[in-house]
Amino acid sequence: MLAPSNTLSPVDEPQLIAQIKEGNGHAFRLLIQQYGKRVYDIAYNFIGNHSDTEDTVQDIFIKVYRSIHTFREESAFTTWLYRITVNTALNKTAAIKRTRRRIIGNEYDEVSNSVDATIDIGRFDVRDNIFKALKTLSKQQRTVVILRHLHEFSTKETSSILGCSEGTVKTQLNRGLKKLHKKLKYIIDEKQ
Amino acid sequence: MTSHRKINMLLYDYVDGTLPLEERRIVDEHLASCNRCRRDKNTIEQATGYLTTVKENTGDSFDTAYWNKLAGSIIENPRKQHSSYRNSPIPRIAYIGATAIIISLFTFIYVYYLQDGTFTGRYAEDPVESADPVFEEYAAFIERSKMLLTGFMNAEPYNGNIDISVERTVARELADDTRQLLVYPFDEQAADLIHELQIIHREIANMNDEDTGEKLVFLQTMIQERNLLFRIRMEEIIIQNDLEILAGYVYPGE
Repeated sequence: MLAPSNTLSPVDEPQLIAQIKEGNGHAFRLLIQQYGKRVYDIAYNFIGNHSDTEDTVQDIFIKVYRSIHTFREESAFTTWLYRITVNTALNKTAAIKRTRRRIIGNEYDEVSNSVDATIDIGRFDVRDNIFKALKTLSKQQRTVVILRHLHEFSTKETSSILGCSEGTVKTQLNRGLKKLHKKLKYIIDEKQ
Repeated sequence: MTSHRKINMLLYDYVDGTLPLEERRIVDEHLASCNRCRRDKNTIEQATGYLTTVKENTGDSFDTAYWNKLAGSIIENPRKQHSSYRNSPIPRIAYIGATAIIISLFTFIYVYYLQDGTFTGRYAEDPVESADPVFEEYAAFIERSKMLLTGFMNAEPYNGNIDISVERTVARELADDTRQLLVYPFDEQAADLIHELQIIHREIANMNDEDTGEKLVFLQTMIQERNLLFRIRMEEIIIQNDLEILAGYVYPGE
């Protein structure tokens, strides 16, 4: 479910969208103020660093501004917005990966595919290791875990954003969490 | 007896506390007699517990002024669009078609009439190598300009020994590229950007070792005031992402 501070009332939202479509800049400012933080948080969970997340959020709202006239209000605006958010963030992570691979070559693949290398128990930086473990999940599993668990979207909302069935969301969530548990087992054992 | 698979599908909501009472009772009954599902429940509990440590509202660190500034920068740099086209379902198709016709026309004119030595580019040398060489040339120019200006903006000012010889070489090449690009019929926004980048690239190319300190700061300020890096990013997005939004954006597969 969406937090109340992140939603516009059902009456306001269509009006705001209509005004933006008419080129009302003030309405667009209100929209960014309303959803900017939430969009930032979601993108950050995919990307994991602030500078790339800021760029991505900018890209997301440019896309929204340029293509809002294609939004046909067949789904909720938030569904459309968060779908753009997820896809842009996934594209950004893929671009970062490509750039790194270009710079450091095949070593990147070896490092990123190795669980032991990514989970650094010596330093025991749990937060960093959780982000690394998240990045080892498949795109679909990572997206479901981030939306459903970290951002508390319902199964139905998550399925709408991703354009898949609720069953798929549940299955991917289970698989993702089990895989995460396996990757983080060393940390969990250490803590216990 | 409820199947393991059905119980597994309910475990996340069970752990999360959002499972309706009736289903919760069924899961409880099953867990009491099934080690495997109990183990799965513990796995999910532990994994979600650790994930909670990265649950944070990072976006809260940005105030209203930040979001206003972001909105302002987007609003002030819109791609110019005819208002009657804004709500029409066909403008993009018409735009793509018109662009294709214009490019074909210019290819024809260039290949057959302008190969008189005025300038030579890969377009003339190999007209069939790419379906849209102007677009590719423009995209490459934008990407290289971004790399150059990003590096240039990060150069340390007031350091007497700044070595920007590589930047000068790249800037010279890019300034040459702009002469070729400006031949083509870009829209007003793209043409303005190419023109301004031409000025900056020429300035960088003409820098001397002696004036790197002051001129560096002067050019960095110029780049910043003209918002060039942001405008380059806008162009990149326009180049790369228009079609994916237009297509209704399909969820990316594995």
